[in-house]
Amino acid sequence: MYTEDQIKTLADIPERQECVIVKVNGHGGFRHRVMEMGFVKGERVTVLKNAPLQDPIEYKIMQSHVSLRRSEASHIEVISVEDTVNTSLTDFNGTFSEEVQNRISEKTKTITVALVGNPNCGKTSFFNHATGLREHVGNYSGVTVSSKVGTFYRNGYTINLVDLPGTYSITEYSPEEIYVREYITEQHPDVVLNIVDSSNLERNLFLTTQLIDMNVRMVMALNMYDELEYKGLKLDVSQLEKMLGFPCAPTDSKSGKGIEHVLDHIITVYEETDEITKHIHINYGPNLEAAINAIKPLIAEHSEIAVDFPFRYVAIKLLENDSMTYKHLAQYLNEADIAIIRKTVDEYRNKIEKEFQEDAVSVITNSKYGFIRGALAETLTKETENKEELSYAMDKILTNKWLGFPVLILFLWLMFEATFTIGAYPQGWIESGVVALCSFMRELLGDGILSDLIVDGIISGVGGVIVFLPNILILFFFISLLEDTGYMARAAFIMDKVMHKMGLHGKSFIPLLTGFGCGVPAIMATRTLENPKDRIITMMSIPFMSCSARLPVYLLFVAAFFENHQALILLSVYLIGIVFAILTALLLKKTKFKDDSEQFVMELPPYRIPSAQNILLHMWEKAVQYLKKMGSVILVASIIIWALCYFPTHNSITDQLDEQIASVESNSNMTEEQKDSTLAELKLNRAAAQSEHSYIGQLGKFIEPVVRPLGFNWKMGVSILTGAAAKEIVVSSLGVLYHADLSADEKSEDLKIALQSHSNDSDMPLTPLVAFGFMIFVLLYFPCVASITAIAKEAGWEWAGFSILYTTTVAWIVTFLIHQIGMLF
Amino acid sequence: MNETLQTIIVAIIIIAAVVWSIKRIFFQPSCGCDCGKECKEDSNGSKCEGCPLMNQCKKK
Repeated sequence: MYTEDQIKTLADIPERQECVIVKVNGHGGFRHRVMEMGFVKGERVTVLKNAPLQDPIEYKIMQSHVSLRRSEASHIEVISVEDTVNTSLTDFNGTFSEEVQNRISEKTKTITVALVGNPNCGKTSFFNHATGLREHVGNYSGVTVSSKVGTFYRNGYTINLVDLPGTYSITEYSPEEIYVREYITEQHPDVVLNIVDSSNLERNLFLTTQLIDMNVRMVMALNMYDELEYKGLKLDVSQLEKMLGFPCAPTDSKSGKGIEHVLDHIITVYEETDEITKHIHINYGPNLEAAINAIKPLIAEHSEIAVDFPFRYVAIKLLENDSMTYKHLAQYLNEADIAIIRKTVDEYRNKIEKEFQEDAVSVITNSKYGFIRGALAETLTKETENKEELSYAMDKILTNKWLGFPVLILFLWLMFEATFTIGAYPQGWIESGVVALCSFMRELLGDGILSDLIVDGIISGVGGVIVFLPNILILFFFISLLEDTGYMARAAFIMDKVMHKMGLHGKSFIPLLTGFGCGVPAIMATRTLENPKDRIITMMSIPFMSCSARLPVYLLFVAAFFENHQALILLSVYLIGIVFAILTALLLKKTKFKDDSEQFVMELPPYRIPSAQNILLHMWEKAVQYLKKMGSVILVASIIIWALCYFPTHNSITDQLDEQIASVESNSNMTEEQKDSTLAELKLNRAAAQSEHSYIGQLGKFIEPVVRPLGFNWKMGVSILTGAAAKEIVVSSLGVLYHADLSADEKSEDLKIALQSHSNDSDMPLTPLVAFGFMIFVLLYFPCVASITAIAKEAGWEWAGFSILYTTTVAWIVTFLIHQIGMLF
Repeated sequence: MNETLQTIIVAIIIIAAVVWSIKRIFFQPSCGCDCGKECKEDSNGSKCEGCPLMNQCKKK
């Protein structure tokens, strides 16, 4: 396979060496110019010599001598045969040797395709279908922040598909826009596949007009075409192709319909054998066109700029006062030249702004929309009677200012209720399995340290968490359902008004919502917020959105202490988290980050029938992720916590109790019944004494003064500490710690029963009040190490440290108040 | 199984768990572009799977 390390460009080839051209990169205008000079695929080139300053370089191609600048030569990929021993490029009659032919073929038949489109247009679904990979598809922006690459083969071609972040345009306002723009201009994909939502063409085509300005080889996938037809519309696709200058094909990326057709178009566009592709200019009107034509020659004087960008595109960006374009010019031009260009650009911009009474960016934007409307006026027609869309009808209820919020709460309550009632069945099966496994291992290994490790450590620790897998899957099923139907975006819309009043940016709701799954991607999703202060406020609020790792803790305590109101208690925990997230944002907005406000537009995609495949795939991924965590972090943590709990095995108190046990066993004056009862009590006391004086017991006793006012005993205190690694470990720790002190006769692997058995302890009883307080503490205290590290990477260690201190302090105070006030009743 | 053998097995398991934890905390390579993705080795060297910038990994 031809590896990336072996790719060379013409600029890398030394003097007097021969090579073969395999690809010409760059925008359309540049490629056509060099191809006209003879630099085409499959052509042999000899490097004659470098100019004295190493630039330009003289080449021999097609029997003529041609000079190219080094920057231009660096866009032409070649195969060099310098490392092939005894091989020349040709072996008979001037034809290429078989080896070289294979290498040329391999490289020229590799196509890099960039997927570009608005958020929610189906890019990732298209990517998944085409590559066979399984990536999560979200129905709101912020899900795909980074890009992904997938490779597949078609008709002898290797296609590298790059799924870029969704973006509404490619200017310089958000990290995604900058990333997409830089990818296209610096990586020079062979073909750009523009995926548009056909049911919303007018908005989606704005990005298309920007791609047209960039003069890149393009294909368009008219995705969600069925929704366009559902609206009673008809699109003249062939007419649209002619107007835009590149092939278009209807697709439905959910089902995969039409994707094959798009892939065939990609190949023909790459090979330049399709009949449709032509470069068109969007007409910006006489005033703007005059400005563009005046600026172009100033840039054309410096031809090296043309390597990366068409002159027309540069002129348009300069009129928009695009700072990234000026930075790019600074790489090639000196300050004096830039000043001359800037003076001319400013003059024309001022003229335009005076004529139109608005800024140049708006004028250019309006022209683009004018072009779009014009194109759609000629190609898009309504076939059937106007009917009210189901989406609008549903939105009248679901986003109604009075009904919206209660409906959202109702959906969330239903979600939690189903998590318990449906999840109870598989949960019971897994619990029985864990109990059976414990008995089996005890029988197999007999009594001893190894059996204690396996049963009391590993199986109790891991088993205590794994039983919640069905509940987590059900929860994720509902979250995916809400996402894929489009309701999650409505939830964001409903919450937006509330959040604006609370000082949070509307777009913050998406990362916050992601926090219900896991804090790490939620913190990374804050990159979609343009304002860094909004990002920090959102990051500080995310830890209060209860992540799925905490769910096992809630499920355990709710099942043990709140049997009759399980869903309600769980919902209240989540709502308390949301309240504290909002209060945190408000606090930061009113203190550290005053005065900052930013407008934004939030998209409401149409309601869709969710794809069963997507939902099931997402559940499967979550299950695999959860099980991987069981097999790694949780397993290791359980072993370490067991060891800290088991050793030292003896102390003065246990030695005394051992003597008493031996004495009772050998006492022939007691009846069997008396012996059993006394021995049971002595063994229970021994287990408790050993546990309290173990390493972990000593640690627990050390921190007990801190957690005692909250109603927690040392075991709960230790579990809170171990939860720093991963929140599921809270349950594993409780499993290990509470399992150890059950008597041999009533040895039950059910942690719930173990917790309930402590509800009447004379010291620090585990009551429903304490259980609720514990859940709230786990909800509010600092997130896991992975989340803290993510905050540190995004915002710095000062903010990560603040998050640890702030969340733990809030958790302590709130739990203290709950416990102390609760004790009064 | 005799007690000594059991003790040796348990000791090995505990030491392995501790070593794994230390390795994960202090030596787990993270992606150079700070995207949070795990760095994985492949035949072309270290690459961050899914990293937006496809950078080489920076070992901690």
